[in-house]
Amino acid sequence: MAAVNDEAVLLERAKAYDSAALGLLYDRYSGRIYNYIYHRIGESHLAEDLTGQVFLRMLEAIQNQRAWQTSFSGWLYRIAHNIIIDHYRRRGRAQQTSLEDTPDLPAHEGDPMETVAEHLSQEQLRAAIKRLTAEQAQVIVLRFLEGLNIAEVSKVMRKSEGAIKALQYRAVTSLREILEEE
Amino acid sequence: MSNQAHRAAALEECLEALKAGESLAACLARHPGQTEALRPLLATIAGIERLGSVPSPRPAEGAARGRAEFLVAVTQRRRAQEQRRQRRYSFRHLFSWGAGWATAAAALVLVVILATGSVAASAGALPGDVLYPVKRATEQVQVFFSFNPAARDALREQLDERRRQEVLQVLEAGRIARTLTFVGFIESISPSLWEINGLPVQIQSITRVEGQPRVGDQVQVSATAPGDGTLLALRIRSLGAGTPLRPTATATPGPTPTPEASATPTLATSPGPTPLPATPAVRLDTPTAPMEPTATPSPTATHTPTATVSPTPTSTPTATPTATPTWTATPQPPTRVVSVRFEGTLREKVAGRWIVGSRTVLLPGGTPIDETRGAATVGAWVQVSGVEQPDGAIVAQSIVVLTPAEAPGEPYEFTDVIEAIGGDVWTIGGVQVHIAPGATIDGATPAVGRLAHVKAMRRPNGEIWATHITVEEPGVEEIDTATPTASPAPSSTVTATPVATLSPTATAASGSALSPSPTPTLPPTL
Repeated sequence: MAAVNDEAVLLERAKAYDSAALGLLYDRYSGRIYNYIYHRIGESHLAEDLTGQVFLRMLEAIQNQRAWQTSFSGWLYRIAHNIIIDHYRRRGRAQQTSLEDTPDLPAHEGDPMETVAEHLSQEQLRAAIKRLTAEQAQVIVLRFLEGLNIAEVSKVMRKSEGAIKALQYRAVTSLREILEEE
Repeated sequence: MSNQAHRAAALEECLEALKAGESLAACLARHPGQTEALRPLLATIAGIERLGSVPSPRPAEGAARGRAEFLVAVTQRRRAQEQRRQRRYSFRHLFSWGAGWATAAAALVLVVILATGSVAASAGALPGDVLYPVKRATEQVQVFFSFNPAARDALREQLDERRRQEVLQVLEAGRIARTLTFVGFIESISPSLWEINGLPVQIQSITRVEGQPRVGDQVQVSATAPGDGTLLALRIRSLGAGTPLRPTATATPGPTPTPEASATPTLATSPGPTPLPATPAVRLDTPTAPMEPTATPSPTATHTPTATVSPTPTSTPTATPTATPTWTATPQPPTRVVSVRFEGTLREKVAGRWIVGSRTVLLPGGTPIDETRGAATVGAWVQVSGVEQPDGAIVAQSIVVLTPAEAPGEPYEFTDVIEAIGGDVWTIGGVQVHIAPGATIDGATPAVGRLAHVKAMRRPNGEIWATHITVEEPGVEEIDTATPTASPAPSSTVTATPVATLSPTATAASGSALSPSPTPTLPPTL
């Protein structure tokens, strides 16, 4: 309750361009938002720039009376997701992912399940995530890289928990197929 | 429920069970028909989570840059919004006058601009203004045409002072400036804040400090002003230990130097008098050139002159570790009077001789001192108008006390809830608390709603100036700011880790000093 009040006070001050409040909000949430974007994009500088854009868009939204409904951080994740989509649109999808860009998984004998689990690298995972649909990528990052639970992801993505479970299942299945292709 | 929906539900159920500590076998045993489908998916998830547990490589420098750029962008937006509002107002206002007035006003503005010229218009320009490059170019031309070295040095010093005044104006106006460069003397050093010629310079993780500057040293500062009145250092370069821009000769040569004489001048290499070595020496950049001191006799000279008279004009260059002046001047009396006006802290006060900021100010008898706003005691902020001497000292013509020295006040201690954090003024339990320079803050990260123990001084004017604040760790007691009627019991003082030092201009959100945890945990509200 205190955190909600704290955020409400901070956002009210941020709305009036209070740099201390904006700085506090940035300090409090930029780490998570940066991680989320970084896991989707994989470029540190770009992730930093897009993180800044998330907070600017947040400022615009609160000034236009379009604030979050239930979870402030969930709302930020949603803004971040939209910014990532915009970014990909600007760059052009073709430029983003191609099979050639995807790092090869080293060949290993034995259970393919173990291969995936033990030899997956950040780059390989990111490359594979880029080949998922936007929603599948979002659920993978939020759920398994950011550690949100089903209820939290459902708030961020504005879907029912059942829909998120189904989406999660499809996302993991697709990701596995992509990784096994390599 | 479809087969896929069953598997999706089973996958989630297993994930939760594994998180709760159950074994994979036990979980799969509950879904005998799904084992083959679930096992590889759970392994894939385990691989993803393993990578997720590796901290993302967010360079601290990048994070600081991102934060600064965000705040600059915010300020620019605010400015743009204000300007749009003003333009809208002006537009309406203009048309309310009627077309005739509008035309006349426009014509008048045009005439004024044409009459004064862009050079004159640029005189008051500040960094970031369109005309600022014109101002700087004009100054360069002035320097170029200053053929007298002494006058040129004086001009350069004057320009340095102008740079510092510009920085001050930028800060006071809350303007944005991407790069501000100035030269000054370090007056104090704390981990996050240096005072350079009275300017508060905030040190960040990205600040590059070249050399090992110490208090009293002269440094060149490149900084950025994000528009919130703060000055964030990007680079600080040491120019030497207390070396003024040009040699400040405070000695009076005994025998009046003649063109035939070559003198070895004595130099003071710090703003204050420095004991000179028995055989003062100066390393010359042009050792074969005839050297003459450019100093004029000063009525307050404190050093014994050691001029050597020689029938042939030769110099005897020997090295000193700190002073590297370049003297190529022939003895010429100052041909013009350089009037100066500057502000600074009154640091030392000896009869007839004051130190203001880093400069020596000589007070001839009868110098008017305006003490309307407070007594001219050490620590007061004063404005000096006077004439600069070739040795860099200022002969004061008038002095105005702008701000008196801080009165110590009486100790004041209380504990209450933080209600607002606004830069260097916080509201705690309805009391406005100023954060004193060098104040320390420990315990939890300051945040609205948390309990704070304040040690402060209450000044005679009633202002509360905190010297130490301990913020209660969160979770000990949740304070709801909406209903601040709760009366939290004072708890034991939190140990002083981490300790943050706040500058007078620091904000509660100004970087990592107040944010010990760069990746805060998810709030329970999510």
